[in-house]
Amino acid sequence: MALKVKVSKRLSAPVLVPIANENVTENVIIHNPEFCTGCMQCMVGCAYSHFKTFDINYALLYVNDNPATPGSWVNANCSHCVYPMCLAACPREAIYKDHLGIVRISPLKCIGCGICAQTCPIAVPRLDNTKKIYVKCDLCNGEYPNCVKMCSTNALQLLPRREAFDYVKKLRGV
Amino acid sequence: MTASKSKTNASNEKYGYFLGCVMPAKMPWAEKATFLVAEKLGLSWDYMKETLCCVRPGVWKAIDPDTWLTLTGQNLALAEKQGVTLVDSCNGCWITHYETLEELLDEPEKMAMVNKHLAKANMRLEGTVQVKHFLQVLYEDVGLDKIRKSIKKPLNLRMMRHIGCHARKLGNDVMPRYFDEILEACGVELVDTPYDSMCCGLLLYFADPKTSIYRNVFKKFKLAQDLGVDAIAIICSGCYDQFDRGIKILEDEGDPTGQLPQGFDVPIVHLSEILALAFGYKPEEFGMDVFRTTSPSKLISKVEGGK
Amino acid sequence: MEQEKPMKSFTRLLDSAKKVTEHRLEDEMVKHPWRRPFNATAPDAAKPSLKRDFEQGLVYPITEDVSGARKAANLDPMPPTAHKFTEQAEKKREIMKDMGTGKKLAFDPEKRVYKY
Repeated sequence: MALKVKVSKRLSAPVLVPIANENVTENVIIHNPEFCTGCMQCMVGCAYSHFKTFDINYALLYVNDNPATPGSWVNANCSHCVYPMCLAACPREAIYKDHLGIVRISPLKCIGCGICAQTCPIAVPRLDNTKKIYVKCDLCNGEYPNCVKMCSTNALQLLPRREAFDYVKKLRGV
Repeated sequence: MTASKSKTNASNEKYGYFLGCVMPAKMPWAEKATFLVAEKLGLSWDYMKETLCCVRPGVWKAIDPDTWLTLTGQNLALAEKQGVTLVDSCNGCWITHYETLEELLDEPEKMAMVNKHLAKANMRLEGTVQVKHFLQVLYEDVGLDKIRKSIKKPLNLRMMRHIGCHARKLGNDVMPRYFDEILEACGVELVDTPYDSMCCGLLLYFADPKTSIYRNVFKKFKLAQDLGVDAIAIICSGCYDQFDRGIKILEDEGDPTGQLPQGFDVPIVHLSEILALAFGYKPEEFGMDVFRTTSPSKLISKVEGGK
Repeated sequence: MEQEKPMKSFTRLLDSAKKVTEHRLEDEMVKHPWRRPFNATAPDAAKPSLKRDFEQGLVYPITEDVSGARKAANLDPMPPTAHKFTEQAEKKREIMKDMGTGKKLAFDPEKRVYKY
């Protein structure tokens, strides 16, 4: 059963992580493979809201076949980390955290070297072929994300950090 | 706030059946069968009249959520005016109505926005309308016992099931379970496959037709062909639309992925047809073999032979 | 190799989208090569079905074949939807006009074409 938690659909302020003394986004997108049917609506919604096209190659989150168990799906979406590896690795300091805790790539500073995609554990940033710079999830600028809105089965959910952490732990059986 | 709380006094509830786009134009047999089933179960069942497209969630929700809400509001306002409980058998229609109602009741400013635009057409939405899925009506309002009692001729058929994505919105143990239990009550043996929960690909067709057809549809077809099932049972007319398109593409262009070298001849049947057959109606009564892309003649002869 | 071959039915869909578009992006690119390409609000693949949404309120039309099949299924040849009650589709158009949906999608209801 999907977790029922009341979330604020719009980000208002970042959350301070106590010991790390770092700001992160209030909410985070969580994927539950048990519900996912591989309809890829999240990718269509993402591609449309960012690039005005239905082509899923433009999406900023990825759903793929799970090679281990046929008929199930794996997903990779940005979780706007406490210590983003992409931010640490960027040679031009093009990646920054904004006032809401969203990790963004500045299109003016990015030189398209691709180090961010290499260092990210799930390779979220991808090359934008027209601008030749790297692009990544911006959590729809703090609005209710389109991928979550479009998800047909509640497999993608927007959850507050704390609940999301517990939920993922439960999903993985840790 | 749940939009579709089940009522206990189901017997006097007036249902308005929402047809949607695909049902009247591509599945007349399922439409007729639904009416036969509802008549047999003693429901006060009629069309919801003057309906428009439910406003497809896959397209409009991405393009313009406000238009999506307003145009769905028009359908909901119509149902309210006609004083019926809106019943959808298409998952896409159901999710549109259900989510819109939930969102509008949750956010009064959106409701005001919708009513402002609806006022141009002399309509008004209060939000008192109830939205139900056909499965919810069958399982929650009618009940499995009554369905079991009405069954005259248990069908000895093997079937693959495909319920569709949106029906999983309330959880895997709500509508998918209803679907399985109703089918099993009809005497259908369900074959489990790893791709049971996979999407039909309708939502993906505009974005990536090759993945949509070759991966999602043809994989299911291949499984059905390999397992030698009598039919694929569906509930959603949107899924039927996509399977129909898959069959047409297979006939027109063949299969470059080599999954279906012998073609495809497994019929795709709606739940209401299975119920109608189990209730003892003849296939001709709802025109079962007319206007279909894969002929169900084998299935019909099996049902009629097994008297 | 088969990955390269486009799907016929989808090509047909895109062709019908081209027919209802006044200024096609490919032609514009030839005429004005220095102009920056952009994506229209209505994606090409969705254009034909969105147009039918504007015009008749539902995605699929009721043709003669369909009404014949409906008769064979002991149904009314015309379903009680906006196909029959066209004033409801008229209302839908009014609401869309009020919302400015046509403008957003660059759809011209008089000429029945997309501007771009």
